[in-house]
Amino acid sequence: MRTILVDDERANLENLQVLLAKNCPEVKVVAIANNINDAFEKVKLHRPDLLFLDIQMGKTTGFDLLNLLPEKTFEVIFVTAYDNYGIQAVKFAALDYLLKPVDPDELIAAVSKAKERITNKMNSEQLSFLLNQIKRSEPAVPKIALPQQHEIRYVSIDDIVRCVADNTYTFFYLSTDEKILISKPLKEYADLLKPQGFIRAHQSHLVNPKYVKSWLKEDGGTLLMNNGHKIPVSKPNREMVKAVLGK
Amino acid sequence: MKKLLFSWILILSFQSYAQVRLDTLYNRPFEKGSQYWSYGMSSKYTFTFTVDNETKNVSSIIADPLSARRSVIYLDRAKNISLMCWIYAKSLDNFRYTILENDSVILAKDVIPRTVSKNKNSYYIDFGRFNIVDKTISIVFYEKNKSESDYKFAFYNKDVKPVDLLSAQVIEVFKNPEIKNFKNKEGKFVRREVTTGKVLTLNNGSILFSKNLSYVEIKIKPVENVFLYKVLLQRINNSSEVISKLVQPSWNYDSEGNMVAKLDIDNLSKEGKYELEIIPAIGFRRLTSNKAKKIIFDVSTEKLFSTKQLITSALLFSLIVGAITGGLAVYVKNKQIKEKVAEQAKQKEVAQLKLNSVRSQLNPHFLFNALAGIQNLMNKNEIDNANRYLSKFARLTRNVLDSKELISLTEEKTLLDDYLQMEQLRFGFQYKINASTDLDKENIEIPAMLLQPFVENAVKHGIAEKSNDGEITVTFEKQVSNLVLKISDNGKGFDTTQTYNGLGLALSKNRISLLNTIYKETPFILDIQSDTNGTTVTITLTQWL
Repeated sequence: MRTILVDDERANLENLQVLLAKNCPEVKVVAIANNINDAFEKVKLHRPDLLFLDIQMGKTTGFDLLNLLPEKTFEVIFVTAYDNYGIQAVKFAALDYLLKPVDPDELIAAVSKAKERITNKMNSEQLSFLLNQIKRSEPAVPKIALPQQHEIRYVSIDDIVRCVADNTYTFFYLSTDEKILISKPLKEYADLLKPQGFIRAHQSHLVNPKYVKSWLKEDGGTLLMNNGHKIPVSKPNREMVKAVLGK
Repeated sequence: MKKLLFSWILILSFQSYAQVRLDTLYNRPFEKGSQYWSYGMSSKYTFTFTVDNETKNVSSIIADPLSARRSVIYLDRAKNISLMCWIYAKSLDNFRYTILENDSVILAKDVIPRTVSKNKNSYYIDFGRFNIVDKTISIVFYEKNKSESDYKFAFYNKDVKPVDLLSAQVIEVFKNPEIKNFKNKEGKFVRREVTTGKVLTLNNGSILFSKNLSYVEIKIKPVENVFLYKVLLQRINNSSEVISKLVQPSWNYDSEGNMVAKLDIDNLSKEGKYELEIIPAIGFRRLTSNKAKKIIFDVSTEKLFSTKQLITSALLFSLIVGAITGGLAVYVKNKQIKEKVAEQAKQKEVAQLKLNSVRSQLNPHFLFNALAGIQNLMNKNEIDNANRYLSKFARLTRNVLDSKELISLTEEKTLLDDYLQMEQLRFGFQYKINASTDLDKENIEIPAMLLQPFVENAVKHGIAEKSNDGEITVTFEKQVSNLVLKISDNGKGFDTTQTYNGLGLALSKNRISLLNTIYKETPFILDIQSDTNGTTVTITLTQWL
């Protein structure tokens, strides 16, 4: 895999080079860049398969670089030091990222995932989705990318009725009466969707309050959804759920 | 085994035993045959069981003060028990049951009841025979598709120990508790209870009884069989007569994980020397002859003056003084009440803030020593290991900085793993983290950084000195609807009654009582057992699952 590393700190570039050489022999680093202009030229010149892209680089971001490149014919693994707003958008787009300092095991996993995706040519659409989400100054209703086995669904958050955990999998129930199975744990989506107002009513249930009809007293506390479904509310969460719904 | 005959039908409506009622201890019958008992649990179940002829006593149904849907039967020295039941329902398809030993060992899980015989709308079920020597056997009924258990029925067949009174206090409430929802600084809603009042401790003291006193609050350490404990109140009057009274209190957990109950203040309305004692009893029969620590105190009542003159002059005097001070006192008292209410509201508000700050304290000692450990790996040229430990270190610090309120059991397990591996690098001990398979680790969440300080203590005080022989075990366990988190080490132990200056333990206790002000309905119970063979810390998140 022809690869370019982009980071504004030299030490990080060197670290990544050493770790890739040691752990990922299939990765061939063809160029490194420490600013987005340099990176832009090198991507055009080398047409890489894979880009390791730092999110925050001084006043510019890795997203700025992607905006400069009209054709996204490469896979991107984002690298960031701290879980901030940028990484949030990356998660919404279901793209891959690494946290610094990079864990060798996580690096190996990310590279092998990227390899698989390069063969399936899955990426450009997700990258455009990500850039669209970021461009919108105040996203009216954000969308989320739900990666299924053979396609990626882009779903408006308003259309998600609820999510149900099934071990490390999550079922999405949409307003169109569709039910989608995603191979990520509910916890990950709870972290993404709670700031959007979703309620974790139960260890296995995440609910969009928009679709809640009423609070039933049965079994100590149950949410009745507009479509008649009943969602249990576990005891530790009751006060929180009542407070949120009472608003 | 030979069984003795006893036939007893006691049908109670659901309501009658859900309320506090006086329980009874039935003597072992001396006739030969099978000892057969039958209790109507609700309109749905009539429960029957037989016990062996070694059984000395059997109690009536005792309501569990901590759970409205759990009842207990006390057995005295039973060896075996056979459980049977009539279920009144059209079909058994939706019924399931689980049988537990000591609320932890699963004897049967989510089993569909098997019919022995059937009437029109009722089924006779045989659950089997169980060894019950020094055990609790519980049966949990529920209906499929209902997340909460329908009914729990426990047989308690263990030795009963006396329990020491921690404190007894008289509370004078100025203003009744009010429950309100407040918005805190983060915009989240927090439930708060505001009570204004005064506390008088009874331990070996004396009080003056007055109509203004509200109730007596007694406190004991948590016990698993609290339903057996009653309050024995004995008064010795001026003629040296002893007047005894047995009160069935309604126990509950307080914010520190102890058990408290309220007694009517009228129990102290007469003058005399009082003795307060907690005894395990059924009906009026003590279940053990061992004595526990009592609390002794004197009660006096307001005296009337003996002569008319004294009364008149006192009245006159008090009228004048009263008029002057009365106004002043009302003003001062009102001001005090207002200040107290405001202060308590403020206290609860800072609870959340404090919680945040307590959570975010990772021992700086650990942080820098961990970095030194990585430095050591670098200097030894163990680059791969240095990389791995560095990532672990990053994950730990990130978790502290993120200050998430809740994390999943899986995440907690990873963090403890990271932490213990870092410490292993320094001290070289053994550790295990076990999570029982019936826990949905990916989706059950607990407050972040709840266990870390205890694990840190286990390393620091428990096994740091033992190096390779040291062993730490962390377990996550499900006990009915409780989540039980346990940390044990084989270190040299410490005196749990001593208050140590060590920040970790104090902070954690503080944190748990803060959590209890937020999760009022599902209290956290902290139990620390320590002897020279090691320390076990148990945190029970009651009703958490």
